[in-house]
Amino acid sequence: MRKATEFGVGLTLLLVAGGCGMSRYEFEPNRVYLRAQENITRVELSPVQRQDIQDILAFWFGTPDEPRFPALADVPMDEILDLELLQAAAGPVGSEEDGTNFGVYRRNCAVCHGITGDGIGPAGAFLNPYARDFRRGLFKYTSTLGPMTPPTDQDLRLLLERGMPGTSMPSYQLLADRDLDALVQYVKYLAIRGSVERALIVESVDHLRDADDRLVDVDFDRDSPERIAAALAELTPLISFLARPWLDAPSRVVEVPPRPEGWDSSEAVARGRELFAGQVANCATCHGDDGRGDVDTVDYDDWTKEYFDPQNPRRVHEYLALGALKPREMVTRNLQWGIFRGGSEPEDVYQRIFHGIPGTPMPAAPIKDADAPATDLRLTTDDLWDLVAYVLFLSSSGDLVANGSVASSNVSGQ
Amino acid sequence: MSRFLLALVFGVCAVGMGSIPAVGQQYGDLTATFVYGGDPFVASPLKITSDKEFCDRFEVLDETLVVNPQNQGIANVFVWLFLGRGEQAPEPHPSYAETAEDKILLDNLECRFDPHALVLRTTQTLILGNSDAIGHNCKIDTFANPPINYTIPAGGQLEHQLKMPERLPARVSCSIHPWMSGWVLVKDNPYMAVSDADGKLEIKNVPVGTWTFQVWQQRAGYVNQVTIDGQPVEWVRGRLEIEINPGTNDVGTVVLAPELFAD
Repeated sequence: MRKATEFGVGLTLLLVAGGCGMSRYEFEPNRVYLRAQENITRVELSPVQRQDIQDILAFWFGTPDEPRFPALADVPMDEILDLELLQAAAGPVGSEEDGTNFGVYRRNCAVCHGITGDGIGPAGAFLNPYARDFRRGLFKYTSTLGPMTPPTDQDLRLLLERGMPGTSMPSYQLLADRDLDALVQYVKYLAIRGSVERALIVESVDHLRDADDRLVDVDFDRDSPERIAAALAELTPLISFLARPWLDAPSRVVEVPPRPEGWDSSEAVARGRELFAGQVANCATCHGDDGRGDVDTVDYDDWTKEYFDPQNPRRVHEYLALGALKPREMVTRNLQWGIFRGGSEPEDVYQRIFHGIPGTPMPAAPIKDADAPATDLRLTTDDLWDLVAYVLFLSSSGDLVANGSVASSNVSGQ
Repeated sequence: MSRFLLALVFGVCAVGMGSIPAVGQQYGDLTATFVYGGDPFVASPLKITSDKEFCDRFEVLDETLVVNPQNQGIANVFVWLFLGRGEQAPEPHPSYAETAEDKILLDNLECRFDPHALVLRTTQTLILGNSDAIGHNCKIDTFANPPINYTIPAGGQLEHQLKMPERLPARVSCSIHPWMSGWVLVKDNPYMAVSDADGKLEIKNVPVGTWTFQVWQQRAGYVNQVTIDGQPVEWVRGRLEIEINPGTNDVGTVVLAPELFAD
């Protein structure tokens, strides 16, 4: 019955859309994550259970043309998301006489990142690396502590302005200030919406008793919004849990300590070189002693490993059929190129080493306090600066390092 | 995760659950033995792709299914107390206080994680060790807790706390050595266990009453079809309901057919 209704609603929407200029853009269900969870647990959701997830999401977060977010008792959502800016980013492309733009996301981002923020826009499959799937709420280049702490608005804004060297992500420096702010808001919105969808999938797979049990007992087509909202109240802690870190992100920023005096001296480079090859920082195991990244490692990022098990590669076909992109092996960065996706200022490189790169095999450096005993094997922040010096040295004179001439003369360290 | 939250936010109290130990509360132990129902299973060696000069000296085997050649016991089967929506775990038996703040070692040993599977309470501390002579790192893909990825120097140790209960065992991996994998189950109650090399497990001092436990193995997912005493038994979503009485409550010898582990 539900199938028939779906079809009917779809047909009506199509007809209406054709008739009055509404767009037909819809959020895509996260079929890949659902299947992965079904496979992990060997539980299969019924069509009604799947539809409930989409109906709940639409009730809370609206549509690509009319985004919204629920008011929560415990987390001030309007301090995380700005509805006016969201509306400017959403919807069809257009502008007013005074130059105010609408549909900024669709104009600039959706072709790669997709309407849903799944990284599977029309051009998505052709990019290398693939466009980011925002739906995990996981971002690689942030200033905040802990891999599950979201980026700050400023982190996202910086990324938009700078673009990401070495990828298809261009710089959007020329967009109007307001448009950039609108995009930051919309990326956060897609990330929160996407992670709530994942949580609802998990909730369904883990806790529904059988195929007839439902997350919420309402009729989304007929019940009043008040009744639906009341019935959904017991699920809103999921949103709170996933949204609160966005509110807290600014307080989780780790300030980069100032560059020590002589941070880029040849002595610092030599110390960094030693640390780079050593057992504690352990950079060379993947990047190679000379940073060229040509060590034989086979690994994938976390977005990929969610549906692809390198030990069992054949299994991937069922996910490809659901729209997942073909897994691409991760490439260890060649540090001699001097192309740093998260920025090439020394402070940027420091952050990458300090935080690691969430979602990738690049781990966070083990850091100790300055007054920790010598027996503590971890690194100090000064050690990190030495590593930064070496990494930047590699890209400034990589060829020389590679053939050993500079390494043995200028950088002997004494 | 959300169970915990729902309970926290709404102060939902489990109906019919003894969340406060009553005077004279009685307890029983749950035991089970998991065995493999197919022909003797031989694990294949994994491909060593980095640090070969060190790791090649060890025989590193695929541990997605570990069957004891002597008795067909299946190791690394997780069993934990299942809590439905809004249900809270019972107050643990006093004997669990002793181990509540234990340090639990997850070692990098001979280019594998040792143990391959472990259970951890939110009050306990995980020690990430490295007994090898090479550097490792330890990446744990948790769901409710912030995922971590630390490098661990040769001979080094790091302490880490996972403060939120997890819904399923979380995968542990080493980015430097992609063949390495392990599993950690984190719960905020002690009623969980993982089967040993003989396929046996024991969950001690469960309050008497009817409880649901969930059974999961990394390759099988929720263990939903088993044979006990020659009778096929279905555990919907890996859920096994059992009445715990004082003394030992043995689920029996649970036979898992090879099909459960098919790709």
